[in-house]
Amino acid sequence: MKSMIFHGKAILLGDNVPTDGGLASHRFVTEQVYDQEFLAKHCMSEIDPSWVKKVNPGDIIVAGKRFACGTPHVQGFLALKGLKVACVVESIPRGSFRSAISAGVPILPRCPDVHSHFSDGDEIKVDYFTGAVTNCSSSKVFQYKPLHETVLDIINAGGDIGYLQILIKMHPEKFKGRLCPPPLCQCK
Amino acid sequence: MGLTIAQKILAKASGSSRVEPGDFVWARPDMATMPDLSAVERLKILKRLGLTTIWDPTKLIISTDHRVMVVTDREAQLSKEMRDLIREMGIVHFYDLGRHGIVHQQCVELGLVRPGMFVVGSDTHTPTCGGVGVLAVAVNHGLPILLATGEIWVMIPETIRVTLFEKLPQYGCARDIALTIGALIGSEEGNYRVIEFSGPGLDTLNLDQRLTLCNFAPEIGCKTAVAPPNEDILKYVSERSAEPFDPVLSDKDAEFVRDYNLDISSLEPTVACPPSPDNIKHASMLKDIEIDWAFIGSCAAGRMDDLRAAAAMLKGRKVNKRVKFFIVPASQEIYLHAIEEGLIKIFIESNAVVAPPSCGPCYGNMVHLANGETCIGTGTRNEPGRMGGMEAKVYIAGALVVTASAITGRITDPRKLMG
Repeated sequence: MKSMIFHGKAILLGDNVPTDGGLASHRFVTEQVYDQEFLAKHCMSEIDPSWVKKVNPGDIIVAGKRFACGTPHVQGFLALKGLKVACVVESIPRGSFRSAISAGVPILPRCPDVHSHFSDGDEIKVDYFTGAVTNCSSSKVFQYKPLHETVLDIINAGGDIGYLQILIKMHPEKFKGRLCPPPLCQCK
Repeated sequence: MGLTIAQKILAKASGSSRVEPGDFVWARPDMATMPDLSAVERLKILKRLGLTTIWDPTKLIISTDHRVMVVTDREAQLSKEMRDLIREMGIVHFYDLGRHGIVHQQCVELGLVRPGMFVVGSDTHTPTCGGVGVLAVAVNHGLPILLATGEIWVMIPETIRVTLFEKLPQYGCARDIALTIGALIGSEEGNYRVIEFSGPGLDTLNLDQRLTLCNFAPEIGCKTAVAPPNEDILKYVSERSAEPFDPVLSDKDAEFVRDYNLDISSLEPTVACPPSPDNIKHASMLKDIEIDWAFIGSCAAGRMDDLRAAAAMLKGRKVNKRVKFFIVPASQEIYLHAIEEGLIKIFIESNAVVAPPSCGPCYGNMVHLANGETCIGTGTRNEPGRMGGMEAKVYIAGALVVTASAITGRITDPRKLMG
């Protein structure tokens, strides 16, 4: 893999967007909701109920500092996954970064000042492999620290579950004695 | 250049001779922890992948802690599914109701996590058990990779050293230290890093206090916090486990990204105000904030140290009539100790409510705040909606500030009631 490019429209969010009470309601955590499509419909509803209406698949969220602050529950990132968006953020708490990767949401976690380089609706191109972020509207390129290749592999697989599916398929010997034999599998 | 505790433990866990901050490794934890709440989904993921059990059924600790009081059909169904899956997968260390406690307390009490270990958990407050000298990291929804393979990806963190001096005053709590350090370091500097405690002040702190200190690390984005064990901690662990363990200390010439010194004798009773745990003020500055609820418990408190402090202040006094005061021991063992020491009698006579061991109100269970209500408690976090309504206000503090406030009905500096 030499590039992992996302190209779309920039959706700006400010500093301190919370996980619980922001990206997803705390209620969906207590009720243990993991349905991405359902969570997507309610994303940011406790801050701005109309927010999801302006987001389209392929958009890229450009956020400020401490994106996804608060408890790093995965529901907020499953909502973003359901919306089919990617992210570049000025900073993100490590726990939330980890949840983003688990959910399979492409995210560049340390992009100082990136928010100031974009306006809502700007055309944006992000290469998650090289760390290059381009404002296609102004033709300016900003260089940030890229993601580690293994982290990119997990995101490309769609998150932890997809990554494990590939791992089990490629290396069944690592799971010897613990895999249901397919013809007899009763698992749902 | 020498190595920090985090470098040493992660080098060993990843089979490396040496690791440096920024390195990316796959590491094999010695033990994993998971609360009941998210256990169903994590285990179901494995089952959907066609796996019949986890990588090692003796290395995962699950305790019923979030969902102790089940009141809906959905919760009941999820709890049943969890118990069925645990049984089916043959997971050895499952502590269900009656044998339970908050998982971060339970794993220490049972001697299942021991100094020098690398521990990984799915709950945000996994770093709590750093108080016993382990490196404990939360990976949240990422736990299934570990459960399936026995390995987890880790970026080697930089370490901030916090050296403590002197000892806490009579009116001080470990939470005052934790909140002060949190505000001092802040979430921009703390992010991705480990806090390592040291100094003569650390030696004055008992295990309960050390667990409270390390519990705070995730609130400022830290990967974890660790307190190197002293003789008292090693003795505690030896009494609870026959298994050998190997305490890990930093080298004298280890490299720390930043050094902080803190005189804990000069700390003021401290309160974290809404909307975040690092928004701190001295209790003496918060006048005229009436409270409706008070709460002692959670993985940040709810231990004997906290319960003894609350009982000493409550003895001979009554909870204010406008306040509902919940006290929730962190485990069955602590509950029993509190009964044996006569603390529960004091709580009941003071009109406090004693609830069964659990995460309790910290997670919005048992107590659900209405919009417009105010609570002061020892819970872990205070963002809007954490304990109920988005318009409810949550203040967090140590057990002494909480108890003093429960008595007066408004946020109170405990020195006012201590003569």
